[in-house]
Amino acid sequence: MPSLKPASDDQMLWRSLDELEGSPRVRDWVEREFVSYVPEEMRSPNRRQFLKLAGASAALAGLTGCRWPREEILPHSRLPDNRIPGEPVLFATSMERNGCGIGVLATSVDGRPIKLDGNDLHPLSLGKSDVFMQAAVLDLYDPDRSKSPISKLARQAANAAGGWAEFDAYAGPLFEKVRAAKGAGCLILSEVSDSPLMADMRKRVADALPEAKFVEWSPLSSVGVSAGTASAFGEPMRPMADLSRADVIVSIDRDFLAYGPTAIRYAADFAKRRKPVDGKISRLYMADAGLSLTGAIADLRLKVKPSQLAGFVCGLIAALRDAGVAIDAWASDAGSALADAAKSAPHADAIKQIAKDIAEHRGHAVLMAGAHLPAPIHAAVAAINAAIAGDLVTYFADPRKGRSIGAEALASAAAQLSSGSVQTLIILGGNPAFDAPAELKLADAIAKAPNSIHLSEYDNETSRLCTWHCNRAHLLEAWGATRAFDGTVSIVQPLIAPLYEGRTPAELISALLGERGMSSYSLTRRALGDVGGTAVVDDVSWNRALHDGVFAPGGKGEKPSARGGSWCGELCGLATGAKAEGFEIAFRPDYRINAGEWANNPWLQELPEPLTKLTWDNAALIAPSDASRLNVRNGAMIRIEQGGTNITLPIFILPGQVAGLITLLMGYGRSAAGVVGDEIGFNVYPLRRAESLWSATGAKVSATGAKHQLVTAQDHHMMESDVGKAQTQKRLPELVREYRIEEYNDDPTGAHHVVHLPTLQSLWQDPQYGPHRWAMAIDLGGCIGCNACVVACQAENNIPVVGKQEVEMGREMHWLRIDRYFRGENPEEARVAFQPVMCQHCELAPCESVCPVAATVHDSEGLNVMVYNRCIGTRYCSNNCPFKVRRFNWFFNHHGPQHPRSLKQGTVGFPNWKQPSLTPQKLLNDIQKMQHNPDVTVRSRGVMEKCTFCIQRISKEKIRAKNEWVGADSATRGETYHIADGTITTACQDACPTSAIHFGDLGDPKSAVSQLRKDPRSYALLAQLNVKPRVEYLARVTNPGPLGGQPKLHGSHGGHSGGAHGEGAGGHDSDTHAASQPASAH
Amino acid sequence: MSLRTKERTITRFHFPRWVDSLKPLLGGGAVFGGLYAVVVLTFGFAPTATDVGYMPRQPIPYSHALHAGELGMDCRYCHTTVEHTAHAWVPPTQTCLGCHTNIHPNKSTDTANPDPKDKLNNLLVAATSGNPVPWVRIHDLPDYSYFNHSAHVTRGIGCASCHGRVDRMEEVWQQERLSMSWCLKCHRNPEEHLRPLDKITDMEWRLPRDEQLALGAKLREENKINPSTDCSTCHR
Repeated sequence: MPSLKPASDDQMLWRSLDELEGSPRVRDWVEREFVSYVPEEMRSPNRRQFLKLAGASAALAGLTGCRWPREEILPHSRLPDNRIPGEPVLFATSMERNGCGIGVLATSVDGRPIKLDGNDLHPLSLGKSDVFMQAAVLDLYDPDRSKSPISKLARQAANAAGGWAEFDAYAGPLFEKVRAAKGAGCLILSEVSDSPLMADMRKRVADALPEAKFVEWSPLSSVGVSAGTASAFGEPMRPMADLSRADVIVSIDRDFLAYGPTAIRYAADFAKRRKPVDGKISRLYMADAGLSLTGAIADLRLKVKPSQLAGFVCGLIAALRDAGVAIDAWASDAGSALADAAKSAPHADAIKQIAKDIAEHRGHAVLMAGAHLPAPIHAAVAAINAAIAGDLVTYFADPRKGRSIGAEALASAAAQLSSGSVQTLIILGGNPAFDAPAELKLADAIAKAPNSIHLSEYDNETSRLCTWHCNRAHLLEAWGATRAFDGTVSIVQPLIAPLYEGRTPAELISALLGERGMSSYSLTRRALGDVGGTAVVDDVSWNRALHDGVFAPGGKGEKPSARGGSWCGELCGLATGAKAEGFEIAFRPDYRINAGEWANNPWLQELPEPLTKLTWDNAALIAPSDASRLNVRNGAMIRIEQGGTNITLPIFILPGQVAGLITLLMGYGRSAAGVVGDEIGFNVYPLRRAESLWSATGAKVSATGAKHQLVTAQDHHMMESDVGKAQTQKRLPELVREYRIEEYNDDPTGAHHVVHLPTLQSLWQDPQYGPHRWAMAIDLGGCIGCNACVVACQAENNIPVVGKQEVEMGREMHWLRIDRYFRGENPEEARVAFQPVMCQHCELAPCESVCPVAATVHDSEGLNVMVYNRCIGTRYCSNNCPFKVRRFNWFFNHHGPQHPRSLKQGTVGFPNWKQPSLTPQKLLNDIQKMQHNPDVTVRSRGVMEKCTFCIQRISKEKIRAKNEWVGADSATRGETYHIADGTITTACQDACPTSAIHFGDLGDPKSAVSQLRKDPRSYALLAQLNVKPRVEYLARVTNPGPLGGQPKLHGSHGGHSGGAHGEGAGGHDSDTHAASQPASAH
Repeated sequence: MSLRTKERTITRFHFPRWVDSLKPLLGGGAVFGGLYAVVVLTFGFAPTATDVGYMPRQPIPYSHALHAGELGMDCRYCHTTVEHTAHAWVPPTQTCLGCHTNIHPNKSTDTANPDPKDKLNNLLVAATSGNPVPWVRIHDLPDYSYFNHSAHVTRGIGCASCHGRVDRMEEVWQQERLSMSWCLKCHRNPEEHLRPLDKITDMEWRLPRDEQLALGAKLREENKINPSTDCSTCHR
């Protein structure tokens, strides 16, 4: 028996408040492998159902002997260049995030784009990705996409006829009138885009239609950074920090790891400094208004209300001055106001320590502020960084200078619309009727325009108000260009002809300008000719740029000289003017569907939100203390009243949430998103007004008494068995290991001492393996819980979506899950730990010994493989899996979102959910099937499945290497074929922005995985079971500094010298450290 | 008892007495029927019965016997990707036209107005319209098995080993069972089929069994051919 020392309070780990309280519901989850399994459909079937089943069986029996359906081979007539049937081809393209470009590498098979990953040549993606990039390809094949233009008249006549010919007939004369009037009475409302193509089109509109108005709005657009840097430098600039060289990072409510156009790059840079090198790692302080992913992994998280953030910055400026970092020259106009404001700063002691820390690391400390924060904070941050950041922060020109962006611009546009002076309204993308500030009543205003045109991928809320809705080409269907945050220009190239003849915004503007015959290609080429400096970019450099995915690099950025400015007074005003009454509200983009534009993407809807693990819903996130004060539990509906309006939505009690703050996740509650996204969650935009875009104070909250079914995956797939709370508390710290840098320096193997094991003996003979032994190493220090790996796995491996009601029963199909634990006894101060868990590919796999039909077996390279055709669905393997990573297909899950058993039914009120239909399930249509990876079997009903370590990629590379070797000259080809380390990557590894996932061959002692398994931080899960997992984890090292309390040197290692551990049979001498079990011993 | 209707009387039907004498035969009948079902299912639905010899009619009466046999064209002239990728593609129409722009059995080279009786009619129609020729797949593995041509032909398995003497087939048919046991037979004993790498597409090449085994063993040793019988080799 392992000897276990009770975990200290600090080490206490739990997954949900229910578990912390010891709720019987959680016990039920642990005890029963298949929770809520009620086979209703099999219970007392009536005669009709019986006949259906019998008929289906007979039909199938008759089919078994026949040859399968006749298949045709359709070769090309003329073969496109470089096209080989069945072989994937990569194309560089790019996509926008908050209007800024991110490089993408798209994989296309037989002309079908099937997967998007980051482009390693692009500075803002570095080959890594996030959930949106991974999920974007599914939108291309979404059957709900708008397929042709449709007019309001046709809609009212319930006759959905419409098309580009009809639209052109309508728009031709209209656009001519607009041109004749020099654009008077024309308003163009576009989503925010820094694309050079759109910049070119804007310029042409300004030239040709000087009277027309061009306004840009996105619900997440923010003018704070531009205004703040303008106040600090005289010019709006874009700051970018080099986190790979930062020792101390202070984030002022900036969720820089998970949100915004720089997130992937920042996450990659940040992670570089989280592996102990010379006993040092960086330190991240986070003033967190709400619980963000960045806050969740911060070394020290300070809970701050949004209204206190300005005060926090004032306090920091004052403390920095005390610590000898003078920014007085900047704050000259403040004087005593600053001292007063600083007094109101929360966490005074912590601020003092942070200032001291910064002063000690001058030149290597960085301050970052959330893009949503007001301008004075950004000005202050720019000023402080000038004093502390050395050359870590560089500034890039702001392409949004001089453009009408944001709530103010939108308000004037709305006023113009309401006054009736707009004759022609053209809306390019976006969904302003849904997401504009509530008090503008933009939906009513849009309806007033006599001519309105909305170009959009979906026939959404805004489209339905307009005279014409036009279908827009998907990102992968048309040409375009993007400008990244640092100015890098990339080309957007189509990988497939438009499925529904969609057009791009640039093409619509081109038509407005009366240009004839301009395709998205010629428009892009023309716009980039201007960027390139020459009139026309020559074909060679164009093709080079297409290939690389970078058209023009962004440059290094500059360090502009500072000037004074009046920001300090304004900052103090903000700090002292903050009202503290009632609840505060913070609006936060959702980690799954952002501001609502991804609402119809089932991969993202089913993705567990990283912190709450909610699926298919949003909620008001409130602190446990507030919940007990209101006497409400998870799912209780509350009414939030603020500024004269109110919304009603369910609560989710989030440990670690700031008391007195309610975080609202934006983007849900769509009414015209599509089959998947409609009526899911609750719309919070009615509370969002121009003056409270990001936060508001003085909200009144009351419980309505109603309840809503929230489905969270936080208690699913628990690895602890039913051993009671006390034992669970001993076991969990073995699973998720974390120690402080001081402890690491004192004893790097400290992570191993969490558990001591007697000599492990096996019932089974160790299998012998061939030349390769595939394995994985996951650095918990790098995991930021962003979920990119989960969606990447879903895209790569044809993993289906099951819908809300199935997730409630724990039947989600994700092969890779990210376990989120809370740490600490007090839920208010809970810290967060993430752990990605997939099939551990145990060498002595418990699943294999219980399978009655040998459907799960080992291959000669140590992979635990699942043979779908043998599986008869006993589910014993899943029952016996200690890691709970096996997923069972309860239904034929690839039936697509339109099936009645599918998503919609499972989302709202569960109509009829206890009687799943027995009718044959409608399959995915041909367009939806195009997303499937042809190298991975689509699993059917009744079989088990699980992570394969992306075996299709392993096979491919092995075959390539062997072909090459056999074909090479036998004199020089060497002993045997060689697969270089790093040539085989798994989908999750490719996606991980922090490179936390490593995959490779243990048979190669020089491979990264072999090396990492020798790292003192490396440990295996549940090593005491002696199943010898091929996945090992590297314990996370944190660096909270003096504010984290005294490190417990040898803390968790009590009794080592006394030899008092081990109540088991094994004596001290024969003890083996769990994690140091060298897998390479074979 | 009888039922009377307006038209006629229906009396209940009684089996005659002698039927009872057949009762003892019922058991025998059941046994025989069971055996019969097993035999029919085993042999009738076996790949040898259902798949081998499958010869669907192709849209163009293309003769492998003429091209690969009589004219001696190498397989790779058309199936160019066979050494490099999983699929040994069926060539695009333009490959056919490479020769058949000039070579035309019926001497009519008017592609705009092809003669409907012409064997090349469908080819010319496809070439003019740009639509693919709808060839019918003969060797059709289930979708859950992933066969890779390049992994076999680059290591010494000849085309004829799986496809038979295509050079003698007017219309191609399926020669082998393509069942899993058939695959495994060779994966377990590749010596029986390995041939020198320059004889891969040679349809005539054949050695006496003992010579084949000796050469196979030598080639296996030389090129380290150790085909795996793991499930994961073909199933993903």
